[in-house]
This record gives sequence, C-alpha cells and structure tokens, in this order.
Amino acid sequence: MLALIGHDGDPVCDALLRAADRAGLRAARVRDPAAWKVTVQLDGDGRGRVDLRAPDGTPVTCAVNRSLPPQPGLGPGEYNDLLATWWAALALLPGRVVNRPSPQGFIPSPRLPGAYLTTRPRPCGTAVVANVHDAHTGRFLYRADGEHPSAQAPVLRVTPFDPGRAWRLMLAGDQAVELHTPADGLTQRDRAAGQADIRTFKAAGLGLALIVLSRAGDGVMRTVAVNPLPSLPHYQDYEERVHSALMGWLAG
Amino acid sequence: MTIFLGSAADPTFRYTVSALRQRGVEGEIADLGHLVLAGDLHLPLDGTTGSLDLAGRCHELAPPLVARLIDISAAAPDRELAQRARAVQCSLANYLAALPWNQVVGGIQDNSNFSKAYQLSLARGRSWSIPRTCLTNDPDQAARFAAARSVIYKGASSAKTWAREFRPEDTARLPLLRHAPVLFQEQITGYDVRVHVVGDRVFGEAVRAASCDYRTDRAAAFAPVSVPEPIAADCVRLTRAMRLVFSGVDFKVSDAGEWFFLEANSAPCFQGYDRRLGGAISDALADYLLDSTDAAGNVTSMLSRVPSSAGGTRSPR
Repeated sequence: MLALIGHDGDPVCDALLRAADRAGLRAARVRDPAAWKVTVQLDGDGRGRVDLRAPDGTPVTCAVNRSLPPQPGLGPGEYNDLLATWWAALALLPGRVVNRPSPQGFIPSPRLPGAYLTTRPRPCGTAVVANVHDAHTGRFLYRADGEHPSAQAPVLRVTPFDPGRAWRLMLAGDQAVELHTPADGLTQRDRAAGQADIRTFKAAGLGLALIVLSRAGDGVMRTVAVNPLPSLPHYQDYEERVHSALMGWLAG
Repeated sequence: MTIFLGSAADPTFRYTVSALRQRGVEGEIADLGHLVLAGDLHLPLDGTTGSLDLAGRCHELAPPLVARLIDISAAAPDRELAQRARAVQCSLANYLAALPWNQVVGGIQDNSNFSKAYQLSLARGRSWSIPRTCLTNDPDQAARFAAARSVIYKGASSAKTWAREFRPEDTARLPLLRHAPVLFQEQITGYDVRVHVVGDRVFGEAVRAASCDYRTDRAAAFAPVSVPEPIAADCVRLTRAMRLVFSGVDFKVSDAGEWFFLEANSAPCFQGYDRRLGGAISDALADYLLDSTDAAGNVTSMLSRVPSSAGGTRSPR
C-alpha cells in the first residue's frame, strides 16, 4: 500500500490518491498518523526492520511524505515521539519513499547557495526578481520585482533570479518533466548541469519536487530553487504526466 | 574574535561562555532572546559572512563561532514572538550549516538525534554494539519484545525523558502506546559512560548508579574512564560524520565489558562532566578555538592543529 502523508487539506495528496487509483495502486491518506501501527526494530548489529501498517492492518510498501499532519490531541512531547517514530520508519522503509527523511531532516531540504535569509529584504536589482518564502515554513509568500512589501513572515528567504533565464522541471520519481525552458534555449552543457543536480536531489531523498535552474552571470546553469512540497499550480498543465510517472516509480 | 551565539537563559551556554573567556577566548555574545525581540539578521547561504544587528550594533557572524541554538519559543509570551523565535533559530541553523563545519562549535548539520532509533541505525558497523531496540505504538509488538528479555523504555525523540525498567505490571499500560509510541530497549546491566569529543580528543567519564537512569540517582558515582582506542576513534569518526566539532556520546558498558552505543548528542550539556574533570573539556574547546586563528585573526584549519594536552585522549583518525 502507498501511504500518502500530508495535512488534511493537502490537494496534492488528494490528487495522488486519485492517480494511485487510476494506476491500480492501493493507497490511503495518513490523516491521523497515531492511528497507524508503526514498529521499528533494531537487531544486535543495528540493522533496522520496519513494520508500518494502515489502521486496517494493510502493510505499507511505499510512501509520499509531505510532512506529518499536526495532532491537536497530543502534547508537544507526544507529538515529537510520533514524529521521531515516523522519521525512523520512513528513513528505513525498504520500499520507495518520496521525501525520505535523512539525518538532516524529516523532509529533505537541499542547500542552495543563491538565497539569503533576512528580516529586512533589500530592493532587488533591476535585472532580476526575487522569490520570497517564509524562512521557517518554506511557504511561498510573493515575488518581488523591485521593492518588497511589508514583511509577511518573521524571517524571509529571498532567492534572486532572472525568470527569463529560468529552466523549471518537475522531478517525478526517476523522470524529470520539463515545465519551462529559458528564452535563450538550453545547451548540452546546461542539460548536463541539470542532470547532475537532479541526481544529487534524488540521492537526497526527493521524489516529487519542483526544481528551478537559472543561468548565472557566468553563463553556468545552476539550481536556484528546489521545492520538495510543490503545490498543484506549480505543474498544473503536466499533472497527469507527473503523477503517472510518480506512480510508476513508487510501484516499481 | 569569536561570536558566542545562544541564549542567556541557557545554563550550558552561560557556562560555555564563562569557561572559554577564562581561558582567553575573546568574543562577543549575541543573545537569541534579544535577537528575537529586537534584532535583525542578514544571512547569505553561500558560505559568505552574514550579520546580526542587535540594538543598533552590527555583529559580523564570521567563524570561529560558538553556538547553542536551543529552542526558546516555549518561553515566548505570545504566539507571534514564538513564531519569530522558531524562525530565527531555524535561519541561524541554516546559515551555520552553510559555513565550514569545523569552524563552528555547536553547529547543527545533523539532526539524527531527534529520532533515537534512526540514529542507532546510523551508528551501526563500528566498534561498539547496538542494543536490541523496538520503537512502536503497537501494544502487541511491545509485549512480544518485552517478553523475550529484560527491557527498559524511554522517549523516542530527543525531548528529555527518563529511562525506566519495564516491569510486569507495566504490561497493563501498554494500550497507552496507541496515543504515543515508546522506545523499548534491551536492558544492559553494567555502568554508563559519557564520552565528550572535541575535535579529535575524547574525554570519558564512567557513571555507576543503582537506578536505571543515572540522572535520577543522587548517589551516582562519577569517575574518569579510559575509553578503549577503537571506541574513542569511532566516537571521533561519528562526530565528524555528523559534521560536528563537539559532541557527547552515551554508552552502556556491560558487566562483560561490551560497549553499547546509546546516542550521540549534538549539543551536550557538559558542564557537570567538565567540572568533575577539572575543566578538561573546556580546555580542549579553548585550545580548539584559540588554535583556529592565526596572528592576523584569519581562520585556519582547526582540526589539523589541535594540540595534545593533558586531560584527554587524542584519538587517531
């Protein structure tokens, strides 16, 4: 069974549930993680064994991790124990996992050098815009073209880039679906740079992610943004293709 | 000049700053609480130097840095400040993670300690043993595990909990697991050892106590212990694999002398151990930091220049 872990109102999880149904892959939403049976056993040499089951007892063989839903009935300590348990279970699950937890975090978060974190964003240069996210939650806030509006989060993550030179891809399992190519086209060197970055992101545990590369001033294509929790509008014209590729990978 | 980044409300941070200053490590303090209330930050993620603005004073956040980024959001008087505290802490952690790991004492590039069972799986394949462990919210699985051996139980996450012996009467409480999972572990009869790692130096202290969790035992007896060379070397390797300069690694040593890894702490509360060791851990931290800058104040490679000194075993790499 495919476990779709995400907040109750997550439209991507809902859409993936429909896609799994079309693909003939049994799936269920994880709305109440405390109701799922999770066991991680380590033997004497530290080898892990995971037994993860839906409330009806069906074993989980693969998962999409879009963050553990909040549990209003649990105190912070109990929620931490639940999160720590799902962290271990998803990290060690033998089957395929989108956003497999790592030592760095429950959701993989590749480090990208192009951004900065600030409480007081500075005006953009004339040649570029900046995507602005909440530095803590990762939520997209606005695109700044010149001045920034008043702060909408305590700390902002600002990613300056040139949208005309942006190359947008959706990672879906082992495929990369091209959403947008730069106005000046792509060279073989660009594609090689993109493939190298995608390999790195897949190795980091990503499986469904929006990846944005942009040609820097030195002419080299570099990843400027990776969103491991993309929303449907990010790939609305490619939804079926992306979800179909993902289901094929998860079932493989 | 070192920047000390932490909370004045945190006893370990206060102790660290005081101990390092006494040993000649000059530095400025940037208080997390102050930063949340009245500060601004600008932190590039490309490894270049960021800055903090506190009450009109700019602090360049250039290495070497000493950080203890504890979560202070629970002490915030309102939701807005709590959110700001979490955002500031997370942003500083991301910034520090982009710097060379060996130039930040207390940087957190590895959060595996949040999930004890996961960290145990990562610690396998070294010179120590891993205790048989069952992390579960399934009462039947827990009952089966406990029926096969003597067992202790504790929290699954890094939140502080006491380890307790699982007794027959606890079986009646197993249905409570459905509300929150618990980590069950085979009981190792023997003594505890905390190993502190600073760079490539290790400091071991044995703790003998009558109770299951020595932290609850006022009669616990502490004594320096020589850490076997393979264990010491693996502590250093593990700390380095976690991209840490400083760690606290917990072991249980069985009556037969077998070392069982329990967990590695990326932000150890080390002051009690340090006092009993006559300040040897602080000495090593100060050596590490003082040796990290040349006469012109430039940061040099720290790990290759840590000198040997009394009070700690220097481990081969």
